[in-house]
Amino acid sequence: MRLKLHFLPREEVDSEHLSALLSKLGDNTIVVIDTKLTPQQEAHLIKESLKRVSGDFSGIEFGTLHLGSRAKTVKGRVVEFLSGHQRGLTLIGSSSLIEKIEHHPRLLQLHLR
Amino acid sequence: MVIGHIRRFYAHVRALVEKIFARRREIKIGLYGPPNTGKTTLANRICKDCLGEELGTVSEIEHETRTVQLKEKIKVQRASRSLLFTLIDTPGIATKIDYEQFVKRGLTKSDAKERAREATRGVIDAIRWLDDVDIVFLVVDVTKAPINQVNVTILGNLEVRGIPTAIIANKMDLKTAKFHRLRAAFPQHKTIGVSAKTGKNFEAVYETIAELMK
Repeated sequence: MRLKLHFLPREEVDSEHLSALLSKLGDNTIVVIDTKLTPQQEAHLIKESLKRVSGDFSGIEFGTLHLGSRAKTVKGRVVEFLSGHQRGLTLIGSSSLIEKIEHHPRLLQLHLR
Repeated sequence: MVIGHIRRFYAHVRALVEKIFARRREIKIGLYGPPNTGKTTLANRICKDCLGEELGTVSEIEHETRTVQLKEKIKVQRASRSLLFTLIDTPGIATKIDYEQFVKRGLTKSDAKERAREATRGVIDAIRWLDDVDIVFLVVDVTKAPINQVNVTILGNLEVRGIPTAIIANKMDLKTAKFHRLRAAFPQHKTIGVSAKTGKNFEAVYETIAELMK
């Protein structure tokens, strides 16, 4: 099985794009966003994915890898805080694909430096 | 993020103004959580205690509650205070609903698909109701791993909305209950361990309602 990773930059993370990315999820695509979603975005994602539930699509699984703060000064941390950018990766996949990966973990390996 | 902070500040100011000037209205307490954590069992116990009647049906099969259920004018007496509130039992929130899980539980394919359809509508409604509740109890199955996407998403949404929250660790009657694991997972929230089925430590629920309604 060939897995596809679809990257979405954080600048494009809004309700419209989050809803649109659900159509990209299929049997073999994982969407990777280079930020942590806000709770409201997560709730929106859950709502929109459940609207699409059918015989072939039962929903999604998503998770976040936290990468911590990069700022070394107080000013830097304040800027990071106010800008709302939270370092991390959010991975979103259809629940059937995630189940396959759980049963065969070697299907997906992610190396971060 | 700045907008989030402004929204939270506005929510606090609005709540304060409403508290000072608005006419007394019934507080809405919502029960939220993943499926099968005992929200309806909990709601039934509260309604039975206070009104003499139950709110909804319970089942071993997930997503038994598929519409938001309300019970108004629930009155609890605590010391010299009379607490009046509306209790809202919500469908269990899930990121996926697969009709085949219901077929495995013995439903026919068509019944299973219909249950799945109703369950998805119910979850969407439950998320929408987050804008209308005043206090939330996150009901968690204390025998299961506490950190999951649903619990994190619900708590995150409650936090940005400034909604007072407590966690109810339900199913404390079971031998596999791990209360300390749950409390350690969410140290910033008050967590009470109860059994909605047996009534164990249920006084703590009413004490917490009184605290959150101050």
